[in-house]
Amino acid sequence: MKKRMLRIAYLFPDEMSTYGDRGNIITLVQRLQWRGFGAEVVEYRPGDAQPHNIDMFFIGGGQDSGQRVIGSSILRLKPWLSEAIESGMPGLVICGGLQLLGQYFEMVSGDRVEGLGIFALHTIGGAERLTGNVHVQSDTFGEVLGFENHSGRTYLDKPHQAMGRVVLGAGNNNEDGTEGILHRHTMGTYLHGPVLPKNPVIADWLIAGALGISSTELAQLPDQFLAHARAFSRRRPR
Amino acid sequence: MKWKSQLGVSIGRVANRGMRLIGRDSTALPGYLAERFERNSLGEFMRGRVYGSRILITGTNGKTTTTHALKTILEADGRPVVSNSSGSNLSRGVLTALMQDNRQGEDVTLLLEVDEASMPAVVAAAEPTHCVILNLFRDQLDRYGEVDTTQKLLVRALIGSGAELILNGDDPWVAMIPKLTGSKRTHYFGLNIDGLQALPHDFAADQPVAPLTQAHISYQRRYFGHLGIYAADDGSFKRPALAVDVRKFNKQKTGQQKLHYMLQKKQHSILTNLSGTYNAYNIAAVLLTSSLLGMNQKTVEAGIQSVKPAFGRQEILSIDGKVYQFYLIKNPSGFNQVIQQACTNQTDTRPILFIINDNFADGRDVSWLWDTAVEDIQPGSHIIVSGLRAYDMALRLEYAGLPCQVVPDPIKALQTSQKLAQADLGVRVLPTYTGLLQLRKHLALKLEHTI
Repeated sequence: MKKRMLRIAYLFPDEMSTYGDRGNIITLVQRLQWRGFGAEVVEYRPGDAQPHNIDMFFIGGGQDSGQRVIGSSILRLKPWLSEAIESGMPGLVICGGLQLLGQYFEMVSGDRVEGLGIFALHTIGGAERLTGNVHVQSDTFGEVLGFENHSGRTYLDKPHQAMGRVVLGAGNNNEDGTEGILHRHTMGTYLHGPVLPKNPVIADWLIAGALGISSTELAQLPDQFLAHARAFSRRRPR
Repeated sequence: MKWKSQLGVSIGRVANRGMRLIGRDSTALPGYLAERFERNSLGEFMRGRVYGSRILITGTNGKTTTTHALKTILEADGRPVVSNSSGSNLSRGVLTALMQDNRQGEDVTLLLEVDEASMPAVVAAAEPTHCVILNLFRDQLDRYGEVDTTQKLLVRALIGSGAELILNGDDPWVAMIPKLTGSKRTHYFGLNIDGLQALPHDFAADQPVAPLTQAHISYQRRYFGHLGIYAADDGSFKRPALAVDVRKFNKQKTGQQKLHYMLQKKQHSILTNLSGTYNAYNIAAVLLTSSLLGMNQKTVEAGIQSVKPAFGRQEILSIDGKVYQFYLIKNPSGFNQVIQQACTNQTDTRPILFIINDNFADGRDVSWLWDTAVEDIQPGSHIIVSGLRAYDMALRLEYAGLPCQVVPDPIKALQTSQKLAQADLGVRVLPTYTGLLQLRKHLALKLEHTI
């Protein structure tokens, strides 16, 4: 197999990047390069021309001010992003990115911010932040470990789309036990940590999707610190 | 209810006396007890107290160092200073410090290091004459929230305050505060250095937008994080004119740093033991504040020269002929500054020991390790990682292509790194807050043994 160059679109890296989100990009690039593939990160900023020849996309979490700034730019990007996701392009969206791709966000004040309407979910602002270590059990990925820090409560229209069920922590809304969403080949989650370095099974699912192969066909990597890092973080308190 | 807060203060005083009787000093407990009883105990305690200048110092990084430096030169100038120099900087710590040092009067300066989150309470109680804001960075997001949340807190604290504001002009989050509070008495410090630029992997910037118009902000030069020379694309906001600006700093053979700066349109230079870009900012803040206090320039320069690094901030400990230099790391921007200053020099072969904990005081979330420029650490460095989250740091380094050795127990890790150190060169120790406390305690015990 000829080793390809994959292009990863990193959408709004200045405004939508917090809590170590960039670590997800570092993880995707390294796991590609360690296996001999090329990786190019295409950063998309407000005002840039629509990205092209993209194999995978990523949106991180943002501060309120960041999410306000990108409002009109992400709306212009909606046709491209919607087409990409529905046609099965692999993607990962974290926290604020997850909320933006939903139907709407209703703030504590009662004001409503429209989302892109790609995910069948909506978010209601909460007074109290949901913060702490999270353990999730996922049919697709097994046990997923991370850290959450959000005030929005997200409700899925179709609960079976959840990425997994919360074992420790709050997850989407601290009520129904769901965490994140899986839609086509895009995953949305509240998990920081960042999520990919300690859950490389998700990184490899994204990479395999972009290559059009199954994860089991990817070369094994040594991941020499992974088991210990997961074991230690599993023991830490909420 | 006044009687309640008075009683709260009395409880705190009794607790303070009790602690002394049993031979214990406390930096926060008496204030904590008083505040548990009545939230506004600090306000009640401050009522009617008289001080000359009342100076508050806040910001994400550099509070302890800046407060320590300003205290040193004020005292060198013969002015009595009441301060929370233990670094206990929440309102309960401030209250405790004031209970323990009862001095007051027109000749006494009140100098307080204040945690950003405690600013509304402390500003209301202390009615500051001067307020220094050093910078605003992302810091333990699980405890403090994001930069715009912290900025809102400071704006709320300062609306209606008559204090002179001494602000970092290179940090747009800080420099825009007067536009949001309507403060008129403002003074700015910063850097104008041509050759200085951020590390290639410094992504610890939190890009703000222009106040009021929300326009995008572009940088002409970035010193580190989001500090630099900038202007809003619509022309509504730009880096303000600087009253003190550092033009150049360089390391001397003695290890000291020489700093060239402009103050009142005149060029000056000083020597200091505090090195690195972030200390250039801290010293600029001290120079501007002391000039506003009308201090003699010669006294200020001599004072700054005598300032030693604060606890764990480039501090050097020598025990059993072994040398340890501590660089406290708490958040991405501070970590990046340590990397830039201590981990990029090819000739520095000292082992690097990371101690990464996730106790409450460190912040429970270790995501921030991924916002740091570890890719810029000198390749080939001997790296040992330790602490409760040692393997998270090892994973971070693995993805940066840097090999490391994991020794989870910090005391054993200290011994391992000491064995790797050449002759008397010693070890660079980069701990989070509770890691620093743990090692200091261990080394202090050893110190007693050797005596």
